[in-house]
Amino acid sequence: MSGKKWPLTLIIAFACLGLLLSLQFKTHQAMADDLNYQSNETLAAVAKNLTTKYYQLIQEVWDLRTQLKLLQQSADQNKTALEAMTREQQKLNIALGTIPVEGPGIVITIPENDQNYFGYQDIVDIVNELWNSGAEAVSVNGFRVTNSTSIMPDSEFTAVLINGVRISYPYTIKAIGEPNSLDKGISIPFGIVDNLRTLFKIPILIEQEENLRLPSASAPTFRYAQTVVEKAAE
Amino acid sequence: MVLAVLALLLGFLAGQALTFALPAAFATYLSVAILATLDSTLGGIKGVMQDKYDGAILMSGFFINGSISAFMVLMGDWIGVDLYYVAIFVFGLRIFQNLAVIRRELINKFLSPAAKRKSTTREVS
Repeated sequence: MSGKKWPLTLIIAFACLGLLLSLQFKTHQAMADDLNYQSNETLAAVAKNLTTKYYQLIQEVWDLRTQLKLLQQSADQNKTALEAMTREQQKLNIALGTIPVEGPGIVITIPENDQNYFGYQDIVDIVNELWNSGAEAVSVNGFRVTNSTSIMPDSEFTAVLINGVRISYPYTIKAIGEPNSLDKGISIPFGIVDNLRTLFKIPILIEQEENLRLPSASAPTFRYAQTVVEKAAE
Repeated sequence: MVLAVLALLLGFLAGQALTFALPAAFATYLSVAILATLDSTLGGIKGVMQDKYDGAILMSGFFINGSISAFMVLMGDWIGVDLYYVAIFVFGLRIFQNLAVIRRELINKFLSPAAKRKSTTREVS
C-alpha cells in the first residue's frame, strides 16, 4: 500500500462517503426518536404505559387533594384551638395579674386626714367591696391585688403593709370594671365607704375614669403545689 | 491511506457540523445510497490495489450508483415493490466481493512471504 499513491478522486469519494455516513447517522437517530417510525407493538406498549401512568397520576391528584383538604381542616382546627387558648391565657393572665391591664373603672382616693382612724382593714373591706361590685382588676397604691397579695398592718398598727411593703397616705385604690356599677356598689348606703364618710369623717374621693391602667404583679411560682391527678376509677 | 482516513473523518465531522438534519423519511434512501457509494469506494480501493484504477469510473460509479439506487428505491415505493431489499442485497453482495478481492491482494502483498517461510520451517521441523 505504501508504494502506491492514492488518487485524489478516491480521497474525494472517501470524504463524500463520510459525509453521507454522518448524515445517515443523524437521520437514524432522529428516526429512533420519532414515534412515526416505531412499530405498532412498540406504540401500543408506549400507549398502554402512558394510559396507566395517566390514571395513576389522576389517582395521585385525588389523593393529594384529599390530603390537602384534611390538612386544611386540621389547620383550621388548630387555629381555632390556638385562638381559644390565647383568649383563655389572656383571661388567666388578667386574673393572675401577670400582665398590665387597662380599661374604664373608678379611682378611690383616701387623702391624708386628721381622723387617724383609717386602717388596713378598711382597705381590705374596700377591695372586697370592689370585687363584690364586679371589679375585674384592682390595685392599691400601684400594687396589683392578686390572689397572693397580702394586706396587713405593721406591728404598731399605724401603717399598712402590702406584700410586706409599707404604704402611706394618700391611699389610691384603682379598680377596672363598669364604672357606674362599681361606683354604686362601693358607695351603697351603710356600705363601707358610706360608713367611713359619715361615721368617721374620712374624706374619701371616688372618681370614674375612662381609661385606667393597672400595673402587673410578679408571676406566682409554684414550687410545692402540684396539680392533683385523679386516678382512673378501677 | 492516511489521507483517505482523514478525508473520511473530515466528511463525517462536516456532516455532524451541519445544523440541518434530513427528515426521518429519507433514511431508507440514504442508507441504500450509502451502500452504493461504499461499494464504489471499495471498488476504487480494489482498483488501486490491482493497478487498474480509473478516476472517471470511480467518480461516475460513486455518484450515479448512489443517486440511482436511492431513486430506484423511491420508485419502488411508488409502484409498491420493495426494491429496497433488492438494492441492499445487490450492494451487500458486491461489497463483500470487493472486500474479498482487497483481502486477497493484502494477503498476497504482505502475508504470503511470511506464511511461506513459516510453512517451510514447519516442514523442516
